[in-house]
Amino acid sequence: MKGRERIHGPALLHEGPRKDSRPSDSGLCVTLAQEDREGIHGPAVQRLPIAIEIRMAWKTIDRTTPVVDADAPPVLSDGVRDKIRSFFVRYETKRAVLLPALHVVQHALGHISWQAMAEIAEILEIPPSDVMDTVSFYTHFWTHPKGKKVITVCRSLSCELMGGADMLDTLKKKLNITEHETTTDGRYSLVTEECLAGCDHAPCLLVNEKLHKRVQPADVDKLLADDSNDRVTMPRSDLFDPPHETSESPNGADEA
Amino acid sequence: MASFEPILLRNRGVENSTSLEVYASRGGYQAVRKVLQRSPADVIEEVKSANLRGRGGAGFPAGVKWSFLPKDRTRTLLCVNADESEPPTFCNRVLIETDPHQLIEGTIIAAYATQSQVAYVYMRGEFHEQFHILQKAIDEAYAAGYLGKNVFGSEFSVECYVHRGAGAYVCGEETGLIESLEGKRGWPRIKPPFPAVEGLFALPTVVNNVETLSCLPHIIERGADWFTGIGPAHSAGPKLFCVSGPVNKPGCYEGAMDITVRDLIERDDMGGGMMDGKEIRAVFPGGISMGVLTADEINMKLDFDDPRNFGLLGLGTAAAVVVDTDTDLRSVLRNIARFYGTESCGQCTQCREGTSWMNKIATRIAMGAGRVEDLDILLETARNMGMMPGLSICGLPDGATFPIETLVKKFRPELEAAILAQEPGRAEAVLNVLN
Repeated sequence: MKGRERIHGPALLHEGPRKDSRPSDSGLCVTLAQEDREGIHGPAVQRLPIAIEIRMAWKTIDRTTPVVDADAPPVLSDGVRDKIRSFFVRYETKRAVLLPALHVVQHALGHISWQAMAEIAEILEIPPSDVMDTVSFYTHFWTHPKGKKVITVCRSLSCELMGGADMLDTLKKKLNITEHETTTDGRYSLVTEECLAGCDHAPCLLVNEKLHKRVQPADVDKLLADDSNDRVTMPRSDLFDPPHETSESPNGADEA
Repeated sequence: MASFEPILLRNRGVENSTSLEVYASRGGYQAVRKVLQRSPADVIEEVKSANLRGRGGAGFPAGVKWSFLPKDRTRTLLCVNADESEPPTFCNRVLIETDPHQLIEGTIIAAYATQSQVAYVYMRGEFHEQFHILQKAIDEAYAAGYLGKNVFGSEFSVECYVHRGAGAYVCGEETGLIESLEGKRGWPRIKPPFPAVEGLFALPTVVNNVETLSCLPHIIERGADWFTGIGPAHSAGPKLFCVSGPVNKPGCYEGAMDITVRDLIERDDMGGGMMDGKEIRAVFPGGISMGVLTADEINMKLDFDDPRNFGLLGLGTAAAVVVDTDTDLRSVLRNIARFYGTESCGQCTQCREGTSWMNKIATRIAMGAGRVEDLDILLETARNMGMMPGLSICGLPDGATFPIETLVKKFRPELEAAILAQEPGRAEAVLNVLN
């Protein structure tokens, strides 16, 4: 059950180890948990175990605990707010500043918390639900803290053909985490994504902003040991970066 | 075959090619100066007669697209589609990395022709290094007076802003891109109204691909006749081709649209043949969405028309990925099905459900628990997703069904043999657990 999200609320009634892995309760559904593991070559497919995961077909909503604590101090600094407002001249509507704002806030805080969403909504004069609607659509936005560096492994066809699955496996073993998890020391989070448009350098991965090309399983150790593995070689534009004074953020800024 | 004189990639390999100084020293920003002396209508006519077909995948003529803009408009917006997300396409990445000023010059020309006040470059979120390169080039162009108020001292003004996406394939669809620019989910819009009439912020909007815009300075510099002289009449001009997978020289190559898939894979100045003596089993020649070719079909021409003769959706992005004979086609099927299952935006029922079921079925087949009838279910799902043109809001379900359908139809014997060779009783065991 490693890596499963916990289900809160009344659904807890059924939590705990199960004796029977084949439920007959009509309220349960069974999903294939087998995920993204198989190599593209024949034999790897054959040796796969079949894993079946059981989960509740519903989730409950807790309406008694406020999502955002109204008394909590603001999470967005004045500098970040000014940075967000600096995008207003570029667009016809304030809502259009949402994506730039989310990039800036994620750079500043490491992730976009409920409270950050509420504060962004206030700046852009839109309902917080609109912010959440957009945040939940895009895969790059984190709604919970992530590691200092995010490793994004490409899993599309060219990379898989060139050994991407083996490379991903090696990474998982070395980091001792699976996809969408963060190492216990908070150094790395691991995610996979569809095509990174680096197919001529397959298999490839990103460490934060830096694209690493033709990464073989044997290269993984060296890659992880390199402290500057997220440093890009060209001059960086700070357009979507928070102002420098925001290094007070509790989760640490994205840029190491 | 005579080697092709690079046009779009002519600055690749030149030292410091991303700087304004180097670009200008090699003839850059001359075309836009000429354009500003001409009338916008005249520029549109020139591009129309060059028959510049959109390089993003659909192949719609850019000049014609521009002429759909209402005559009585007061504001116009231009969007540059740099959301290159179709596996295995990377030519826009190469263009931005090697020659960002060519794109900026093309953008100014398009903005002038369409009389746009603002040009938004919608760049996919995964392009970090490319963003820094392009943003630096834009800053340089602003500093030189090539962007902003009164470009090159003329009456014409245009702002150019980079808008970064955040990971969504569907934002490459032009109305999905517009929604995303407005700060919403990248959900494509029902058309009509088309963006030319009512697009970004409900204003007349033109969306053009990076490669399409990069052609413009050359059309202006050398004329429409020169452009139509390259390649066949229906597919004029230089084109970037990508090749990846187990070939000796994966990369982005430029040529006229008279080459074949075989040329792209085997020619020494292109893919350089298969790696380690591997053999070709299948090729996805135009991005995976266009469908698949067997090893016997690779004499297909990479132009806008020939792919249809092979049951493909079109030329697409002209980015080929080669699958070799050591690869299990079930895993290829699964990889593709997963892509669309992940990337369907979820608005239209048949696409949301269809791609997700195709993913589940393909996953089971790849696990070695497939049944022969699963192949028929895949085909039926594909038919239900695209049985009627216009059934879906955007083209994503067409792009999802073509690779699955062509793969199952063209490689049915191989897939059936693999299913029949799997461990007996495995499919039933898995299905029993699932039921």
